Amino acid sequence: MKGGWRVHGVATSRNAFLLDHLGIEAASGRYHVVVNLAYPTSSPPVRRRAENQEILSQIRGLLAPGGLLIHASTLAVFGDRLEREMVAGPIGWRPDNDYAETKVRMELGITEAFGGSSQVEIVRLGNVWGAGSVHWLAGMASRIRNGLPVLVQGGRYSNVTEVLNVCDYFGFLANRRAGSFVGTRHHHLAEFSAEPWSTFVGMIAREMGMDLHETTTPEPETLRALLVGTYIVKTYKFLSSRRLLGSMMRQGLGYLPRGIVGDVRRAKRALGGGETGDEGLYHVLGCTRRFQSSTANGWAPSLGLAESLARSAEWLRWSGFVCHSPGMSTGPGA
Amino acid sequence: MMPETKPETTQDVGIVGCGTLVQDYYTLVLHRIPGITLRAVSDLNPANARRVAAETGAEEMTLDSLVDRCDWVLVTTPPEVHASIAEKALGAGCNVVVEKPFVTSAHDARRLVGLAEASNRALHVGQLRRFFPPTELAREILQSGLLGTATRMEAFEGGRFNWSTQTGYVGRSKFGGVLFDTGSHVLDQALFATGLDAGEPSIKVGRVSRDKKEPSHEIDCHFDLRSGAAVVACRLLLSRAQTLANTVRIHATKGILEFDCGYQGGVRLNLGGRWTAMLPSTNMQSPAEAFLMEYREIFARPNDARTCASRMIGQVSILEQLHQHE
Repeated sequence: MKGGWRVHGVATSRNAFLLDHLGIEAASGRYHVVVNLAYPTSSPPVRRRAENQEILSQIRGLLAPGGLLIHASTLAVFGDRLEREMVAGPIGWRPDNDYAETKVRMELGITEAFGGSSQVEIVRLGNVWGAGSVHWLAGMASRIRNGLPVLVQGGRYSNVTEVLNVCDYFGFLANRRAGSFVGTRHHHLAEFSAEPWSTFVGMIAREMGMDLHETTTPEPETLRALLVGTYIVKTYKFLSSRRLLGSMMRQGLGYLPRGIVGDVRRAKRALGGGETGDEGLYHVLGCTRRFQSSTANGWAPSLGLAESLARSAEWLRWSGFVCHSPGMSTGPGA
Repeated sequence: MMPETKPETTQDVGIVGCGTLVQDYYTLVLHRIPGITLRAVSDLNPANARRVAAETGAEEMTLDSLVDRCDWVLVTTPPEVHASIAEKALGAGCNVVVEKPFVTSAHDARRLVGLAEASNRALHVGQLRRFFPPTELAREILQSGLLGTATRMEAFEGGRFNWSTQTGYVGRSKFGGVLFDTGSHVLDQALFATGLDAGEPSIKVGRVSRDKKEPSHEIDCHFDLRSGAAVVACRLLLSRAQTLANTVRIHATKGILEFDCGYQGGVRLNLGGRWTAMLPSTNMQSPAEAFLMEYREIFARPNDARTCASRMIGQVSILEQLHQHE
């Protein structure tokens, strides 16, 4: 890492060996700078409030008095379609999908726990793209190769940030640490936000020698249509995806004993997860609002768009998405 | 004669090893299979055995008692003890299903298959992914001869490791690395799709690089498989830390086919330089569906189910030689 920092890390017990793999030393003791990337993905939505508290507790044990805490948050706190007012400042809790709720709750928890005694920098990231990106590079490549839509008519802004620029920005914040500042500051990072999704998915399709497919924003599913069938899980997913109703369901289920929640989760696995709706994805791909960067003075992205695309193309080839075959045309990446 | 399942009779099943796989999947599907009763469970960790016993109504018992009591033994322990447990169960006259990876040496694989044949018992390997729709569709296309003969095979599978192993063997056992873990899945899918699992192809190992000594978490293997006069150049890239394409790609004399490794996804065909995507007609919603199909087939057709261990010796041999290659 730039600036002479040594990176230590925390992983859940089952994944701790991955730290060795990444050449990262296990964290112990207290640190001048803590970067929180944790998000409780492995727990059911109703447990995420409690797991947020566990993450906060872990940070509390790692952050030296008066240290710097950089917290990675997301543009999703403003809604899938960015329909909420986008302010580079504190926001209050409001009912939303479980991902957005968990992220907002963590922002508030961090501010409350550390904002009065430490320097807290909350960085809301745009859609994180770049070599190794699971969702917006590998995920889009997987959709393209199976002929699934990756463009939505009317979509204007990708609101993308490049993963290496994210690392660079965190390093910048660590290096500019103002010793006397105590409080919470908010940043927005989406340096390629003005680019349309076609810039990114177009490159992927060219590399793989496949076609792009576009769709329109889907009509919302109706509860009646789901209830006509026997799609219990699908109906549950539908209900839980509604902003207010889903929020209320999760709050209620969160008070059930942990064993019962586990049973519900296992039953859901047995029944199948229900078809994964693409509604949320299409909202992001069809976004007509721009998530503007709002970064600290003196920082500029180290990686430009052309280089980001080139690195991503190289990664697609390395990871097996692009077919190399002598004598066969598989696009310019071959 | 191998045993035939008789729906009017119930066969007693015992499980050895009650970790995450059993707790999350086996307990969900076994009771849905006609003609069997989960009678006994055993685990070195009594808490695991008690948990599964309480959930299923099975009785917790020692391994010796379990093999005496049951008609079928399902071995779901870490891989280094698969061979010894399977041998014990076969020796006691049980039919056996060993979870993947089958065993850690071709010698053990041949010995167990021979033992099962000699004692007229069924021996299967839990290669779940043979039931994944994209894999089945890919096999149908390749077996149709549309693409000619396979000349090259590539498989890429990687992602952040998130299996909640209860013994931690993936980080400490020399057979807990990504090669025997994920590799036994993806290699099996490639061999099954191409039909190379029917024999025991010879292997010539080229370059193998890994992040560290076994258990490794990332490995890149280049090797050739020879079956009769045909030689198939192979590459296997696996990672527990980095996302990869999660794809098997078969280059053949008339075109290229690739398919997704997961239970969802599709198959792509390249004939004449242009890709065509196909989605299987079956839309699987959970791996539990594949487990159910797998065990229904095993208990209904113990003699010729697609998971018969005699079709797995070749892959064990390949894994063993890649594993030994520094």
